[in-house]
Amino acid sequence: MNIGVRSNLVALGCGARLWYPVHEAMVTLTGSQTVRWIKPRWVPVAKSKMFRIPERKPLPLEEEVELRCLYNNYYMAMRAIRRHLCEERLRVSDTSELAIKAEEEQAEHDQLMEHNSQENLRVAALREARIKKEFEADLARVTASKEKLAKDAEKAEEEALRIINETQEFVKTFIKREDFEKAIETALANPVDYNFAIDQQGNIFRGRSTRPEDVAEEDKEKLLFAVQS
Amino acid sequence: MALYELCIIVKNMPKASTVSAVKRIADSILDEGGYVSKFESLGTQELPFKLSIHGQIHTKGNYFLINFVAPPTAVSEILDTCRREIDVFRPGVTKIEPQQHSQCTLHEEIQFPSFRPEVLKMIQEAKSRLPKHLKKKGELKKTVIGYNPF
Repeated sequence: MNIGVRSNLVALGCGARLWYPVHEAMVTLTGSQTVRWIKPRWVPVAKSKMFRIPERKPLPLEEEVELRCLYNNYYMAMRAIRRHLCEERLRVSDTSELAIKAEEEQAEHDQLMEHNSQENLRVAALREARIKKEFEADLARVTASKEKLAKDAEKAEEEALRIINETQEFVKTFIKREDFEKAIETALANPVDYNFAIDQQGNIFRGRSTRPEDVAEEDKEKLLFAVQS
Repeated sequence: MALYELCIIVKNMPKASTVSAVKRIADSILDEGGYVSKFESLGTQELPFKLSIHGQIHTKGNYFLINFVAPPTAVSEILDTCRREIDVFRPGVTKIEPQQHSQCTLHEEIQFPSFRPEVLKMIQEAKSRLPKHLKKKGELKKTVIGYNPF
């Protein structure tokens, strides 16, 4: 099966070299070979056909008319464009009408610039005023906050002083080790009773074992805030 | 340093030994770096129930309050010494906070919910938070006669 690298030309049958190609892939499994009947690229024109001039095929009439029309249209359009460009160039050049018009335009431009600068000045004045106002507002705010801070600090200082004073007062009540016995004895002699009872009339009866009939009517203690029902 | 109140029950004993028991407690407070500011006796009372502590059964006790100032770390030590003391039982320490004075609002609170200003405010807020399409649903258009009969 292996025919080799340069096996485009294959010896067939009696051993004569043939020009037509027999490709490797064309060799089928059954053993039979297929042949492509096309000239390879390196094979020149046949001698008999070397000087033959092929006859020109006549176009159909409709196609000819159409083609002529397309050509004509194309060249007409191109000519028009070329002419237009030429004219345009003449018009825009330095000595043209347009150049003379430019002076007027410059004058108008100057006028507009003048107007613009005036407008800028006006807006700048407005802005200045606004910024000044804002600055003053800021200043006022800052002073107000400063005052508030100072007031707060003063209040805090007062509070601190109050706490210090209270603590100093409280420290005076501390009992020394030597006085413990005396203090305990006085406490034992004067027992405190925090129990109390309230009746429906809002009277308070102090003491754990106090009975309502024990307290005289005029000595009865009243609740400070009785609920309104 | 914070202000605390120590509540103890001293065994029912003669006066002299009661005083010495309380004094021992107070001394332990001083030893822990505290200061005693006040002794208060609530008198000798019947205990609400029998207590058997330190191998003894108690039915009566002498209630004592001791106000003291001590660093918070020392409180547990003080309580510990109280627990070891045989003549003293049921020790308890509470912190004394400055009293908060507030306005009494009971007369507002006992009103019906729909009349309470707090609830009214909440209802209004809930209404304002309703989405738009729900807000308009409840409203009925007024007619020529001044109200909507439907």
